[in-house]
Amino acid sequence: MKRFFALFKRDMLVGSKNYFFIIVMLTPILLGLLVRFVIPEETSTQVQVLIAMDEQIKEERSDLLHLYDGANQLDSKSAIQEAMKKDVNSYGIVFTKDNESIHAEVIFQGYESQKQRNLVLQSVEMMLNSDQVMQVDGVKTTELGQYSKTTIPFNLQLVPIFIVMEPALLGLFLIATMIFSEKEEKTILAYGVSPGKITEFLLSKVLFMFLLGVLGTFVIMALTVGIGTSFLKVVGILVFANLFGASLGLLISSFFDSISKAMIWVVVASMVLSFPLVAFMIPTFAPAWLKIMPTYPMLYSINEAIFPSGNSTIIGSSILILAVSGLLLFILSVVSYKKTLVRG
Amino acid sequence: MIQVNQLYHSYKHNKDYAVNNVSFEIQEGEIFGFLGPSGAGKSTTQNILTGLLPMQKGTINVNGLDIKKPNRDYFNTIGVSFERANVYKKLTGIQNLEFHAKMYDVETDDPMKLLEKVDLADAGGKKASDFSKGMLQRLVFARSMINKPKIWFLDEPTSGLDPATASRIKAIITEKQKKGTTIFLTTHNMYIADELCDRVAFIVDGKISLIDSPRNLKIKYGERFITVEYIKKGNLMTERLSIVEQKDKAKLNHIVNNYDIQTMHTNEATLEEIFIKVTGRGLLE
Repeated sequence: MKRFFALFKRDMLVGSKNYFFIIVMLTPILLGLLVRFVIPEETSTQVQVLIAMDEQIKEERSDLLHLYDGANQLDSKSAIQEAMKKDVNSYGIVFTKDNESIHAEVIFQGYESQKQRNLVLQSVEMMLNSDQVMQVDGVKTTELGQYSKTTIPFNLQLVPIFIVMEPALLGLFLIATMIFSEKEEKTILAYGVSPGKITEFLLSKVLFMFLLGVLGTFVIMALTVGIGTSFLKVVGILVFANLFGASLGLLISSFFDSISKAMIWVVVASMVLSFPLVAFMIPTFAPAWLKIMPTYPMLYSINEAIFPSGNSTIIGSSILILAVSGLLLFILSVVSYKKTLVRG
Repeated sequence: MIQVNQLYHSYKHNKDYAVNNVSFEIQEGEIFGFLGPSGAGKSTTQNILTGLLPMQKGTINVNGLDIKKPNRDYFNTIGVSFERANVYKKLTGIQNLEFHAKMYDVETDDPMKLLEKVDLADAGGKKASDFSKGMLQRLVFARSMINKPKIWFLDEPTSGLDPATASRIKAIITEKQKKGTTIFLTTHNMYIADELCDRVAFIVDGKISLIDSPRNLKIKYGERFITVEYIKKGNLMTERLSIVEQKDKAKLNHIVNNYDIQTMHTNEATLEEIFIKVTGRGLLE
């Protein structure tokens, strides 16, 4: 352990004096401030309105159709529900008539914030009340039910993404710079003629990446969602997320003799690993090939840790996936570096 | 004792050997010089001996133990001073030594005492990036002693040092030898080798040409010379003549009898001259 702690202390001292370290530490602050002050809590997108109404209403309240000019008219409530499943940016209104009263039922997807719902409901009530010929019997709301109800502001929904792309995966980039710095300065040769093992040498760097990740996550969460019990859960996931990211960075770097050659593949890996972000932002897009990427469970588990929905099993399964893949990559890195690190 | 037998190494894993059938023995407490020009195979041999390169073919036996795959015990007993100043530039001199000391399982030397030994005590708190080339070289040299090595590998230990500092380093090497340390010295500086080594090996193109003590080599291959400066027709002339060969002896006699002698010095053959004579190659090629 004496040797491992000495290696870790060395990595902290050398790493903290690297310009890359300053960038890594400034980025979470920037992301936190971005979430806090730049990205809005809500975003307006082109929403498709789907309406269905009785034939009698169409004849008696043709003004409603004019008021919803541009809305997509469908035959029934079930047709609206089907159409809504295909378009997540839509909501439906079903007008029915009972005796002399018009009933309106607004169908939401389920993810809309209360502010968005109130806006829609108010507009429907206003339109129904624009002509007092018929009695209006209020507006009912239902949910399509494919999304859990959430009131997470849009800007905070980005926090898990920022944590995955920066503190969780920073090892992918930073560990490569540390390895190549040792290769270029040939300090690795001095280590190579000491009793130190390659495993200890690499593990101390992974631990350093983890500590940086915790620090970055602390900054992002402190500036956005706050530090609470969720922080400890996120740190628990970060242990394995960092192991995965740093080990992948190590493995890629082991095949190259210069940082410029390695960085091309590190960037490619980073881009591929960011594909699950699309699924996270558009939940209806989640093909199987995308779900097998470790960043997919990483994103959803961190999201669950910060914004609990009761689906805590995702955290356990994510940790398992990241631990297995991270450990496998680390073992491969050790094998590869035993052959190449000193001679490289 | 170190025994190296029929050592081969090819970087391309073919018959193009960087080290080709190299065999030698080093006695305990001996300073063994490995001499040759750049690319001769000196560093490759040293890298195999220090475990930085895998052994492809041949055997290395250290104190009766085969070190095909060097273990922790072996690394605890060796020290390596690299020619290139491979230290952590962002750490101070003392931090570099303290870090390295913690890598070993055996008793280590006090980093500050080592810095004092190589005249770096005052600079110990400075970042290595602020060190001059000579200071870095001394820091690497000091680092190689941190685990009190029983076998000490030195690669061009006085390269880039001023004469006074080089003299200090040579004194440390001699002192270590007196304490029983076995020293493997890799250099292309024949003066250092002549001064320090008990025996030397000449290596060219991966092959050892000969192994012997500098004294024996001078007796065997060297010629005794005399350098004479004299005035001939108003011009200062210089001649280097053998005092063994008849032709040169006659010429020397002629110069002494007919010209105004300015200076006259005897000088024996250098190791470099012997190296060229034996290998047909210069050391700076």
